[in-house]
Amino acid sequence: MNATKALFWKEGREILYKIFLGLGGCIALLLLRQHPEFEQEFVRNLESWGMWVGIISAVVLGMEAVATERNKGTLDFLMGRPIPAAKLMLVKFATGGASLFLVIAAFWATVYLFPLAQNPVDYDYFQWIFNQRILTNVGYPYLVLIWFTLMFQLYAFVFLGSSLTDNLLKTIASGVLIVWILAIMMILGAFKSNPSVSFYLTHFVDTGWDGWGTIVRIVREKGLLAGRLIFVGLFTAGIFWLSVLSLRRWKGGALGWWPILIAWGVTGGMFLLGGYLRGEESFPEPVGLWTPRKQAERVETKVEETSSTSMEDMDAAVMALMRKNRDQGMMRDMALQDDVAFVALRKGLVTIDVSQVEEPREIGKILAKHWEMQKIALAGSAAYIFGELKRGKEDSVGVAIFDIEDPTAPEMRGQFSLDTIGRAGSVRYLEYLGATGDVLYIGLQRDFHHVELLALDIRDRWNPIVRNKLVLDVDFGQADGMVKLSGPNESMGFRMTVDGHLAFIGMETGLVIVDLSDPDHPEVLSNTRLEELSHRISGSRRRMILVEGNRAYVERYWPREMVVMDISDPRQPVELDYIRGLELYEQDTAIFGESIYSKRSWGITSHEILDSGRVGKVRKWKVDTEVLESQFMGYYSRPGLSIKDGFAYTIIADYLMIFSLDE
Amino acid sequence: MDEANLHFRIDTSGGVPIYLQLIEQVKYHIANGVLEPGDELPSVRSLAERNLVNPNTVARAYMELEREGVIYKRRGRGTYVSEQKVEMTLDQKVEIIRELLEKAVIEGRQLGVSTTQLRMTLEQTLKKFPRRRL
Amino acid sequence: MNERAIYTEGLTRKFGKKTAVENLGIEVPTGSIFGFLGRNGAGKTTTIRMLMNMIEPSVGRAEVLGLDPQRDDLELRQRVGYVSDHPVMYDWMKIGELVRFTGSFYQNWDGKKVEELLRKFDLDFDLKVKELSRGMNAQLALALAMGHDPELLILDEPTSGLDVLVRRDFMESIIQVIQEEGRTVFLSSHLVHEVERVADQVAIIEGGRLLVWGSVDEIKGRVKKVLVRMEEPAAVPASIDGISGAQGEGAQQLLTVVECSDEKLRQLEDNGAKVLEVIDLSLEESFVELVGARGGVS
Repeated sequence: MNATKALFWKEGREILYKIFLGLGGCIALLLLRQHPEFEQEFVRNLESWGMWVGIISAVVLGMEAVATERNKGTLDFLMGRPIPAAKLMLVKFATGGASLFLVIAAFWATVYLFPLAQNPVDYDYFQWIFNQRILTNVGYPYLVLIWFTLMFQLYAFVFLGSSLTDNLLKTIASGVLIVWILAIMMILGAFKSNPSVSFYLTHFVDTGWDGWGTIVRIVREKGLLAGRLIFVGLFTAGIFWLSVLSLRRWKGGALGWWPILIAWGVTGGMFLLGGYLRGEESFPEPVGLWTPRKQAERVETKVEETSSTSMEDMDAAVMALMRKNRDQGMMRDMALQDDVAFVALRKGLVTIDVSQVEEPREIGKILAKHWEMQKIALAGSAAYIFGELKRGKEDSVGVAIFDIEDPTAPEMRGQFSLDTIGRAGSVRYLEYLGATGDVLYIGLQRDFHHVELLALDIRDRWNPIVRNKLVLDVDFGQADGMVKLSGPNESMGFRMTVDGHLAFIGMETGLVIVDLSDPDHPEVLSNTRLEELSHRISGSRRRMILVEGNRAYVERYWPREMVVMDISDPRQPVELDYIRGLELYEQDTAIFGESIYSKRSWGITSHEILDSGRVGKVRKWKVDTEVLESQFMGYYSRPGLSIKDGFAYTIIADYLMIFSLDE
Repeated sequence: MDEANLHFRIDTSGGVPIYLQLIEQVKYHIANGVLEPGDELPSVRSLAERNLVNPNTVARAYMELEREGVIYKRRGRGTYVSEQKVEMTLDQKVEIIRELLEKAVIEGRQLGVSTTQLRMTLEQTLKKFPRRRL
Repeated sequence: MNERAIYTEGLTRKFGKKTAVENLGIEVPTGSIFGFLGRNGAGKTTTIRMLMNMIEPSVGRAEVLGLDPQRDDLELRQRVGYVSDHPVMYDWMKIGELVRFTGSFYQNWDGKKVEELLRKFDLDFDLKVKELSRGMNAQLALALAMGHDPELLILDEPTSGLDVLVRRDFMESIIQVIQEEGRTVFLSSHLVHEVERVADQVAIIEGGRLLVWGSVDEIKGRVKKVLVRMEEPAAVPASIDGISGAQGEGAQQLLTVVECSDEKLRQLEDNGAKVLEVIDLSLEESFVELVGARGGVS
């Protein structure tokens, strides 16, 4: 028997019981999963379970590598033999690593062989879809590979700890190294405006099992996958080399408690420092504020602390508060023209002079009886506001027209119903309202299968005439095998933006570009399918679209990212690249300059888009917490986001907020 | 002669070097007839192993004995008690006895046994072990 | 082949403030049995661990079989058999498995020899190491150390805690080893009486420092006890140096004299101490006197 084989035999025999334990654990989990309640929990937290299995395995398999031999004294026996320290350690490292691989592979095998139970109960259903999506798109071999590459790094750290100490307690305590690294990472996270670091962390260290489907991206892109493997390989090789050195250096002795405790102390200090540094980051507050409610009328914004603390009571209290607040004056939408902000209130229109950004001044107001406003579009002397007309039994949907020539005295000049124009029928949802030149464009949905584009001639501002309509089937170019999610109440399926004479519509299938230069004859120039990496289940969100110059940024559902398309030839949009790291669940976005601005419920973020397609600098503007607590009202608003002259204008909670974009 | 019967007693408590003790005891065995001329002596190895003594020490003893002519080595065949009858001179024999007697007397003195008692004991011992007929 | 199997020069090892071995210089001739004697904690194990490159010397150097233990440790371990004090082997292995495992690392492993030895020690191949008694464990360790026919055997307190019979077997094996040409045994122990029979040379270490080094007879000759009768019941004159202890009261006293010579005896007589008897000491007794005197405890 040659020396290497002998060493593998010994290490293998010694670690065998742990492998059995690991496999046994997987089987135990499998048995537990036969209980529906446990399975529910398991499906809900699949990733966590996977992480725990991996972490525990990595720690258990690595912790005894050297420490126990030292403890027992057999290390002396080995060190007295003519075995190079490096070979000895390599065999130990490899055996532990292989065992780790086995356990991880076994765990995921049980997940793939015994599929996740589908649970039709609400939230869990989406979790099931999400997890299922990842499992399907990544595939068993790659999933094991990704999991292993993360856990292997942890294992290497524990192995290093083991080679420095002589008992298990110290090994675990000296996993302080891990904490140390994490602390450093957190501090680096404080400088998160450096995206390279978070890029490496997300793609090369972590599993990528996140809402953006990063894991799918890693697996699909060979460059990323190769990068990950190389990084992990080099990193663990470095840690391994350190453990060989520590064995050579500290042959007899081992790390005492003092160095370990000191390291803990320093790490704790860095941790706190990191938190402090991050805490220091301040976000600019808005320079100007305006709210329709006067101070005296400030409504109850806090949920009263009742003596009862049960979840149901809390929920009920929150709902009651929301219902109460919803009846107050609410800002619904906003548009800018010259130095005036035109705000569609729930009950009417208010104009605000924003020439002095620090002091927005209300200058005019008009109430529209029976109306419930939602969206506003401006065309010079006219403002078009879309809303619901409540007339007792007959509610209808339409557009009110206001004369805003004199912003201090707006007047209602006309209205038209949308129920009776275009394709008749009630309007479910209005996505786009905008005017270009003498044409008013409306994009809406009456049912879930069609998108309607209306063009109205507004040469006579007060009497729009329908020039044309274009109806697009939502299943327009539906992909094979695409399965719609349930229910009629789900889908509001498109987003639209107009740039120049082109309309860009984000449909469920992808990007549709319509030429509106001849309002009488809108022409569909292209219908580009966007490849979704999940081809089994479709989402029901609205695909975000941003256009600037020759670039269109289109949201991909899965994995979540912004696809960058070249639209210099609108008939042939070309997918160039994708941008990850944009937080896409905002309420509104706008492109300005080199950045994409998005409005969040707490403020505004901007992501700088670099030429390489990566996200550059990230900035945030945050609103005071007290203001945020009046969020309940913001729940119902559909705020706009406008950027002009270095300022961002938006509606948050029930405030018009003006942020300065200067550095 | 059976090797098993050849007994050596090594005493480390005193100052006498082991090799000297071995030499003495070989001579003693020869004088007693336990070892007769022509008998093969145990090998250095076996003597060392059986008595847990350094082989060098044994080798040294044997070397000395050979030098004195008490034993001789046959190449490849072993070590033997010298053929020619090595007569210990009377002086040599007496010398051995004198040393032993000196020890006994010193011991006696230390213990405080009287000269008369010592002499008596000697007489008794002589009577106990009459001269041996060969 | 080298003249000396082991050579150290100024070998020192510190652990923080404590100095375990200080300025040790010894030479072990090839083909000898060398006894390395000292009390518990005197620095024997530390010295041996430095020879085997299990720890590094703080100062000084060592040479084993002409090689540098730090640089050539792999080659050395091929040629040196080492048994540590309280050897610990993998308790889950069977003896047979352990033999095969150990043998795989050596170039000239003689499995048959090991088998023979184990049979001689009456150790069954199917026994698990954890089932072995202390004595059997020590025997196994020795057998394994000899399996690759090492030129040098380094044994650290190999027989401590073992019963008489096992100790005999051990000593016998050691002697057998030494019979072969060029083989050397370096043996550390605190059991002086056992070592003195088999050792060619002996070194005594105390408090990390070398006290004496030489052949057994040489060292025994250094210290003697002298029985004297004082003319006046007085303390022994301190002017005579080398007198390191006195026992007894009254007229008769037993003195311990280091480097006893005729001249010293005459000096005693001149100072009114009539020499009654000069008593030789065993190595163990010499050890006690030498170490005790050094350590200041008498």
